[in-house]
Amino acid sequence: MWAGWRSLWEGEEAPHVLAAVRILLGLVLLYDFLSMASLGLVEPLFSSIQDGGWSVSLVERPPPLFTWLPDGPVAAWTVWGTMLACTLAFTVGLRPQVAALVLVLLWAQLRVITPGADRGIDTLARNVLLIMACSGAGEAWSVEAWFRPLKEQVSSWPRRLILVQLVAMYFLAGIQKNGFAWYPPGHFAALYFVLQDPAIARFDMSFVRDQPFFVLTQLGTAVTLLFQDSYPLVLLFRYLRWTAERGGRLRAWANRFPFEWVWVGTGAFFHLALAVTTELGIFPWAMMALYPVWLHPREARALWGRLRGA
Amino acid sequence: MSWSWSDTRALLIALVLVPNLIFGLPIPKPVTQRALQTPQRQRELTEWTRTLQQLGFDVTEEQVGTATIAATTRAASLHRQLKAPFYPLVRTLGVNQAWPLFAAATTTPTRLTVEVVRRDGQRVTWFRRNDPDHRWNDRFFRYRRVRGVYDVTGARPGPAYDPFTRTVAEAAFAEDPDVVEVIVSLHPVPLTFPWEPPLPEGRALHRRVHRRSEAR
Repeated sequence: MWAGWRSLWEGEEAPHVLAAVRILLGLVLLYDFLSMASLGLVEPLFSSIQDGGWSVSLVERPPPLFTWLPDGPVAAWTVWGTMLACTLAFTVGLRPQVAALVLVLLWAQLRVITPGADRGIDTLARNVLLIMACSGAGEAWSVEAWFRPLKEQVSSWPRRLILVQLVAMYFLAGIQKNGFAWYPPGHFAALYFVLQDPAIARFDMSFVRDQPFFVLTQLGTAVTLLFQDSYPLVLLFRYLRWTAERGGRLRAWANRFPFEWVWVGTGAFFHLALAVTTELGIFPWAMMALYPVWLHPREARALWGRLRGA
Repeated sequence: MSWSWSDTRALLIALVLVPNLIFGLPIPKPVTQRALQTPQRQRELTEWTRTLQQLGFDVTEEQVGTATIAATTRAASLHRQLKAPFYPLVRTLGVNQAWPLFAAATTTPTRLTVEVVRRDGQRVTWFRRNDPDHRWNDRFFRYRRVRGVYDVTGARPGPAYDPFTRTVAEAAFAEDPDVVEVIVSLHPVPLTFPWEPPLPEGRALHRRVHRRSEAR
């Protein structure tokens, strides 16, 4: 069993998929941090209520970093500016490992000082950044190439661990759904209610009360639940493909069709649908930025070749 | 067999996954008697009790409520103990594995509303979430981090809500010198099934009034 576990994390591959995740996630985060500034939110989010900000905990229990910095706007702009610089460095591949680690440490302060403003996608991004901080994501498409030769092969485990993180997020989101509206007693009306929530819907969607929209939301709810609760099957299909040489009827069946892409495709469709209908900010885009990890660099190269040839 | 770098790496990944697994355990937050009184929870309670009754269980809403409080309190307490050793690390890095994405789609969401009172006593609505006729500073209110501050589904808003309303008021005062008072509130929007009659918006909750004379 130990040998099996160990072999899961062995191996090397080209760094391009991790580099793609680095760039895509970095661009999404850059957009978010710049939005924060353009909306005049740097001082409110990173300052205490005494300095005109929104943070109560900066007065009651300031995290260590803020006890070292001067009070008020200077601290707010210093933390935000460093976060932006780290995100930029991470995106362009300038010491991306150090940049990711510093970004996580600073970003985590926001969760402590203004908890409501730190959402689930912030947590997920920090989880992934910590993995990226241990990866060779800077070994392709990075400005480091100006200073040193880049490695052609990097460890595969960070990409696999991000994949596990995606599976864990979808699966846990599924089994943590306890509201009646997700289940038959609530007529699978969860999406119907979500789409009418004025704080979440992108526009007035009261039309979902009418048919066929209500039935479509019911179908969407049921599919969401089925998709999330069954997500670990993706890992099983991956494993069966990975160990195809061992033979057996199940492996032969699983290798006949890339079944995991049903889940990956469904997830992508839902994220795009959420981006159109709801106001969840960077959530769908940050999730989609992680999707390249579904491809082995070899598969990514083959896909790129097919797309260019088409 | 000798210990290799592959073994060390596999061990380190396993050690990292242990706290992640603990934090990811699908254990709901403890439900309190007070929390159970919110319209959303009351509706959940009614529907789940009805389902249990249809399945042949002879239970009342009160019994289901009491059992929910007891079970969630006990489970959450155990979960807290398991998580305790990892709290410093989790807090420092801001990581977690709890993903309650729309775990209970609310049937009683609220609509943020910003009204102003002018010097002549006229009261005007400047912003009403998702109302195309009242879109003052719409981009600001739509931003996810701002929504997280005012999107209240529990019994009371978070600590950032009051200072947030003050920021909104300051922006209104700065924009129009005739504005003497700013009222920020959340209006409950009770949602019903298509076969139920629609309900009107409820009375304003968490109403905060800011006067220019008291502004900083």
